[in-house]
Amino acid sequence: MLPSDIHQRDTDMEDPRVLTEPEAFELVAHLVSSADTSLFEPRRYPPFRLLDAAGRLATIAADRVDGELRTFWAELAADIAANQDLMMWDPAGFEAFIRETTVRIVDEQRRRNDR
Amino acid sequence: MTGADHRPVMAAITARRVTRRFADDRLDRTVLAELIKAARWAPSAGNSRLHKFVVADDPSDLDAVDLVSPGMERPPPALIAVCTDLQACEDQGVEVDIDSTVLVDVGTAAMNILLAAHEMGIGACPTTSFSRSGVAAALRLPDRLRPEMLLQLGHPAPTETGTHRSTRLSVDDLTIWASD
Repeated sequence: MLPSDIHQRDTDMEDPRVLTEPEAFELVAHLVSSADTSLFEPRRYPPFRLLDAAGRLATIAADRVDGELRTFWAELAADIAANQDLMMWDPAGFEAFIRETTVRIVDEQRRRNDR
Repeated sequence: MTGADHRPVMAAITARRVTRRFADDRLDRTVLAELIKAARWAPSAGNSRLHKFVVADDPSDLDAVDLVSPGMERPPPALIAVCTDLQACEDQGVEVDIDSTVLVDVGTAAMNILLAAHEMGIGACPTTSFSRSGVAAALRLPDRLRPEMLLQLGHPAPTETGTHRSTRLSVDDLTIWASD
């Protein structure tokens, strides 16, 4: 999906603004510096960094919405926080969590489309 | 092993844990200087002493380092950046990205700091997940210094239990007797 598509869709639906500019700056700094460390770190780290960034974003989003959306974001953030360190102890479990989370995102998208 | 180990060095080695969350209070510079003293006693390949220790305790510097360090949860009260002195490497004919002892010496110095910090009741966390160029800019490092490892330092936060999951292989699993 192109960023312009996301923007167009945002204008078509309820639009709770999720990120303040300082929060966006901090998240971009995390992503850019993670891109840098991904050049030399073991290959299990880049997915960990992306998941970490997703958790940060989910945490922020949970604070800015209500109802079912809040539940979705809060639970997602909590589950990422609880499972992202599996990278260090349980690589297979870490990979399984990533795949399960991807499916969860698809399920959430379906739920939204069915509303 | 059960019970306390009465060998002080072994006791420190086995009791030390990484601290990831720190109290807000700053560390006295005399404490930080003691940690550098520990580092200077670390073994160094060929006694080449190719590293410098950049100490940061200014909150704005620490915020900047945190921003470009994915391996850091939040800015610590202080940190020591173990840096390779590229000019010293050149002066001594050390090929910095070929000679593995350059990084081995980072590890020996860092371990001395970690153990000294443990003895002094200071929490510490070694960190290598950071943008080298970003940290160099955040700490205003001269071009000759390349940051290799950050040692986050501070008093452990009250919520820091020091009981992170810690897996250790057994001595049997780790050991291969060459003669067997």
